[in-house]
Amino acid sequence: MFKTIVAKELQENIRDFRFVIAAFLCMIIIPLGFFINAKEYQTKEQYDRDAVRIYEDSHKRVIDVMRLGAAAFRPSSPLSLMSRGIEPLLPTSVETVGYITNWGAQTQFVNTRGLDNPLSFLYGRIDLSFIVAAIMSLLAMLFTYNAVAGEKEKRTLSQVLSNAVPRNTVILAKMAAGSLLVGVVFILGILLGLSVLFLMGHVILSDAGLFGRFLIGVAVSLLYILVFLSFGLLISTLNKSSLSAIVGLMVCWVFLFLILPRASVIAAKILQPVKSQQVIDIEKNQVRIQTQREEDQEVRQLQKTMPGVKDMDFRTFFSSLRNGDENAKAYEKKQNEIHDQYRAKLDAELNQIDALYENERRIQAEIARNISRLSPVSCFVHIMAELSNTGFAEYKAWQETGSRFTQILDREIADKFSVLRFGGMATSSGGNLDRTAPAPKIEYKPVRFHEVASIAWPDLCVLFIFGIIFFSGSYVAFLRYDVR
Amino acid sequence: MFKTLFLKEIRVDFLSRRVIMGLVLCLILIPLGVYIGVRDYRVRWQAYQEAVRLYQDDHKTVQDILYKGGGKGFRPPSPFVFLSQGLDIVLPNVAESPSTPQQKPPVDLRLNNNQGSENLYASFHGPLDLAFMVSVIMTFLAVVFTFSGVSGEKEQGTLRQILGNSVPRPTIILAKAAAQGVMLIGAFLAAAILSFIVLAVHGYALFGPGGIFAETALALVLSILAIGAFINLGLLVSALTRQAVLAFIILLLCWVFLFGVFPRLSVVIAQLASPVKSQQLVLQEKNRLRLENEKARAAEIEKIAESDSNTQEKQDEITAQYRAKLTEAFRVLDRDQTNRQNAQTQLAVNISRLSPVSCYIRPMAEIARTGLMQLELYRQDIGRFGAALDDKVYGQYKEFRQKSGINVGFKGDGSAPAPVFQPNRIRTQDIVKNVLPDAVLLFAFSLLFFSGAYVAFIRYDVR
Amino acid sequence: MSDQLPILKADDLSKRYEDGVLALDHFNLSVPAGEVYCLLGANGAGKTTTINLFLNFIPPTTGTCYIRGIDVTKDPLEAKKHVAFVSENVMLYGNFTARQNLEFFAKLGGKTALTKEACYQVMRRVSLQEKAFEQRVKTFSKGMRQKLGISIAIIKDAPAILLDEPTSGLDPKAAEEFLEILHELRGEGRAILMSTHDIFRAKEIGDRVGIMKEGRLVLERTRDELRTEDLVKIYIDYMKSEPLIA
Repeated sequence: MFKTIVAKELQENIRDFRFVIAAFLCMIIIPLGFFINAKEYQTKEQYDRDAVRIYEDSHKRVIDVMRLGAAAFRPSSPLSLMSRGIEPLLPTSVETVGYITNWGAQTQFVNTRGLDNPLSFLYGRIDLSFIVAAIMSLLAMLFTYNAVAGEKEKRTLSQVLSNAVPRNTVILAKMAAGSLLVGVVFILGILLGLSVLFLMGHVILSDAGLFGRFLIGVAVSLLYILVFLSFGLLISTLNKSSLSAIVGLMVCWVFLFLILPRASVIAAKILQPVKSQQVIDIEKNQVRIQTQREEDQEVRQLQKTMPGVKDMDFRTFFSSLRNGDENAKAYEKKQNEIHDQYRAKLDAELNQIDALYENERRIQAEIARNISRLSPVSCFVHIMAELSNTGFAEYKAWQETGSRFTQILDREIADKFSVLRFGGMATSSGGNLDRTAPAPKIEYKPVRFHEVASIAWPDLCVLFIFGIIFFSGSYVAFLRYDVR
Repeated sequence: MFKTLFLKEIRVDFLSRRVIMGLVLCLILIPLGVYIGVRDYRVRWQAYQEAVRLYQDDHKTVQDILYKGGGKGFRPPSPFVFLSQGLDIVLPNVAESPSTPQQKPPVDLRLNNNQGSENLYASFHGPLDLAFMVSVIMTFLAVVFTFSGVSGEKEQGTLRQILGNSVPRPTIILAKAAAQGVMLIGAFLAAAILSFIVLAVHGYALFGPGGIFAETALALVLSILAIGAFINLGLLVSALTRQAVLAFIILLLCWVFLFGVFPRLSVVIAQLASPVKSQQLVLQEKNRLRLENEKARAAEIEKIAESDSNTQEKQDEITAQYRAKLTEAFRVLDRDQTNRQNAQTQLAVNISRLSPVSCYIRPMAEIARTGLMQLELYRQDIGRFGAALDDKVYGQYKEFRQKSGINVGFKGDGSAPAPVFQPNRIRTQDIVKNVLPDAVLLFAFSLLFFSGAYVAFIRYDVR
Repeated sequence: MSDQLPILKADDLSKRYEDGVLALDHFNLSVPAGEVYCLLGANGAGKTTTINLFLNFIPPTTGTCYIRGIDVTKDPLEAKKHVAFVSENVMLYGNFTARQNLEFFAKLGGKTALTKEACYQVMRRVSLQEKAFEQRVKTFSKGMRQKLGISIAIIKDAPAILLDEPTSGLDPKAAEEFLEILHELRGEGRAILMSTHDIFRAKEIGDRVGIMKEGRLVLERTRDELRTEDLVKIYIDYMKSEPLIA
């Protein structure tokens, strides 16, 4: 009985214009999307490599970094064809601000992406995430909106149920047939898309890790499609006419796809306002300046009060120091201690500011994320972004990269020299600093899969639960459905 | 006859649940979106003012710029962000000069966008501004209101009943278009009035200095044209189909394509046809040019320094020559980049104009001063600020190389007031000039769709 | 048969559809004032096509339809002023009340200054229950909708009325009531053309009955002739006979 009904559903739908539309859309738009995004990635990657090459040509040694500043570049994600995610707002590089001094390297994140193609931000991208979230979900609903209500209108449902056919068999068969149809068409589109990538020599196909993530993305897409198939079925079983079913579905879709996710951002901003990065940067700068000022004052005080040196002028002092004068050396030691104290204090204060800000920002993001989880669409786009390394895990990873980069610069350069001040003059001495050593570099480490999984698994669970709820709802509603 | 049919359409709509729901949605969401936009602007304006204040407090003099992190020019947020957030969160919001004191001119102010961390989610999902409400909700409502306008009445049998009377077909289709237009646009205007109240409560004035009349009037006109285009599209598809459900599905696919697919495709086609270097690459190229220029300059200065005819004037002359060369090289690089970007953007804009949605979204960003015109203006303002920094700050460093060593000194007045970044405002007439072609196109779309609906309905088989 | 000018006239009417089907083949018909003409025929015989041609819903391939002497194709708007129409399934605007539907269609028919009471009177005339006057039409049964349909035709006060299978799906009582109304309208001098499957009602109400087969009028009988002939037998014999077109 089940097989018979599934076969009937398949035969009926294959001859339907909707199947033609679905096949057309999948076979054209998915490969097209892959081609476009792969081409864009290849172009960007070329530009990125050129930029890095030019940078590295002029930053071969430590002395170059000290003179010109240092930078680390974040490469574009090869999986961005799956999802653009938050890439427009992710930093493109982390760069030093000003000279690297004995106060440590001051770095900031730089984002120049907005200048590269602003219109693409205005209109959005045709990545797989968009194709599935918008187009495939619509197609899934189009296949199921009249599965029950339409058959009731045509009076074929009463015809079917006038036979010894259990209702649960009917609803399960409808779900199975819809899933098979849409699923097959989608997979065919993906396969075509993969062929396009193969012809373009895209890196996804040659890297097992990337390809694995891609396959997971396809699997999650199929789950998402199933969620909307069952949603369409649910609405169909709650309506007597297919017209009201599809209108109702569309209103829900607009709400779930377009309104709720955006509303979640706003709700989060209202519930947990966060200072702007600009203000944070300036506050940090002020703290730096203030701390340096305080250190200056203490050093001057030391100079005025330290026996043996207080009456020296700077020429005498530095000459004494060169000659190994004990008082001069003691002064140098004391000054370094003062500096270390203030530097530690500055680091602690800056870290506190950063930690507070990050905490506020994290809470705001969590609130937005949790509210947005009321929509299966949000759950899906989050997962896809994380898989593609264009999500929040990537943001966090890049923050950590920035911190590590700063630490490397401190360790390799800032910590290796000291500045000695006396009488308004200063000298720097790089005792251990080898200016001809290779410039410090940092290797970008892509977000590892387990980190992605740890961020994305709640969304996956919620998506799965949506599917179960929608299908259970349609199942129960159909058991009670009035077929007259 | 027209009045009778028109009133009937209005009545039928009012008694329809979906229409009532749609209207209520409109009356709630649009003012809500405006409220949110205004609040968002307030927060960003406060952050901007705070940043400017903190910066200016610490950078009063030329010396402060030299020793306290360089000069900065902050882009103010647009007060019209409730109309369209546009590119506001991805465009650079600060331009920074290098914070190393002895930076040599021409100073290349780096445009940076550090709004990322507070807007990550916003970039994921997009804003709830007026442009979104109209381009998504109102156009969707237009589809919902009109898909059954002809095919639904045919299925119902009432079309036959009407045409069994002495009623000219043109009158019927005109009455339908007029009635749906009045309903939707009326609802939109009612929502706009509520929105004006929200704006007034938050201190926005319509007229007078800082008045928002011009921008909001432009936005309203554009929105009405966009809604009109979709109403007529709905009638056209309805008049080309015999079943309301089919009409709805086709309209839905059109809507998804026009809203979601086509504008994105246009950007991509333009990118493929007319690729542009990334900004990062351009920055690195500039850095390389600077290094090469500096190396050549230093070598020539060194030669002079070794000679007996070494004078400050000679060295200054050489320095000026090299600076001029570098300035020209930067100018050429920037000009090429700008030209390519403009070509790519123009291509994308022209292709995207095949969709009425694009004809609406991009101009709304321009009206709200969150579009490409704003970026261009900011660049120009930054250029002027950079020239002032060169003149008063970085250009005042003089160096004199001799056999015994190099003397570097600041010859300018360190206590002189620091150059201040002055952001300009895009003139309303420039905005009008920019959006006029799109407004005309939207009207043309409306006319085209309505003509199609008209012709289709004249021939419509009502049996 | 009356020799006054026919209100409804079909003159050598033919209609071939785009798919090649010949729905009407040199069809002639005239219905004078005060006559009920019943068109009988199987599904696809051309009855509805005839009505559609009179209403200018489709153009004829050849021939002409006249309503009160006005060529329907040449001046459809003028012609439609003189005819009222009741379709097989009277759906109307479900969310409007009966009166609101009546008012609307009356205005289309040129009756712009209609009072509520005038509407009620017409609905009473067709025996629609009083409580239904201000009820939404979507709650109506088929019989009630048919009554409302005929009241729309009555209120237009047109000299000709076209009915497309009006008693299809009605119970015997409702059908009987409907025919009584037709009888009254005939008495008022309206020319009524009714297509139907219902042989018994056709015999009962029709002043003349025409049998259509494959687009042609194959037989016509008057009321007097049918007193002595068995219409049922004639009809079935014609339906069973060889197709007219090979």
